[in-house]
Amino acid sequence: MYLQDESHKSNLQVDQEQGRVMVSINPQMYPLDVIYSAAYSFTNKNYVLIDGEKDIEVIVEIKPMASSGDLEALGREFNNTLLRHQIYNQKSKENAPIRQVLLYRALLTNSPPSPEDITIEDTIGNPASPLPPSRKG
Amino acid sequence: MIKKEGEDTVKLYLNPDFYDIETIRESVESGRLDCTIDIDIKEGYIIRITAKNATIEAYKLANRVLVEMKIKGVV
Repeated sequence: MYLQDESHKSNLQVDQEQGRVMVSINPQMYPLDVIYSAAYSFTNKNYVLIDGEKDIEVIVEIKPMASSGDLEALGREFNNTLLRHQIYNQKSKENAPIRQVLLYRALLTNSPPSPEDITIEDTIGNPASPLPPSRKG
Repeated sequence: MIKKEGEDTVKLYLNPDFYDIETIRESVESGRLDCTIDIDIKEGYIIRITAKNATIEAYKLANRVLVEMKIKGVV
């Protein structure tokens, strides 16, 4: 259900009179959390309104806080931002198991063993022993 | 969607599919605006705002709701 008549360029509808651009997004392509993330990143310099039907077509209205500027370029920048967030999400999901392993390993490395778990034999010849020198050997 | 009602009054329509009512209430309170909130089954949340630059205040409110939802982890 993309905007397709002549006044629209791809998924963008530029409203020069109102100083805003409407971006039509297919929610099958971009999940809602990606749309929210992209919209959130635009709130710094723009007013953003989300509307539409969440399963069919999401419309994001973007109105720059400063009146000057290229609205079409703004809409295209939003499209790029959507894509960036989508890729980040995908990679984040793909790398989740590796990230877990690395985090687990890092935490394990930094956890010193309790003194009760260390035998004298373990500490002989080990200069990094947590035990005081008097207890060694 | 924002619809002008009069010189200093607008109606801001927020779709319940995308906006959280609790966050809207909190944002309206923290915004200290002259607002009323209605909930319509067809139209969703309708916030009537009376202010000097009512349209811009409506946009600011919508932005604030979105940012708060993100911060709270609602979305």
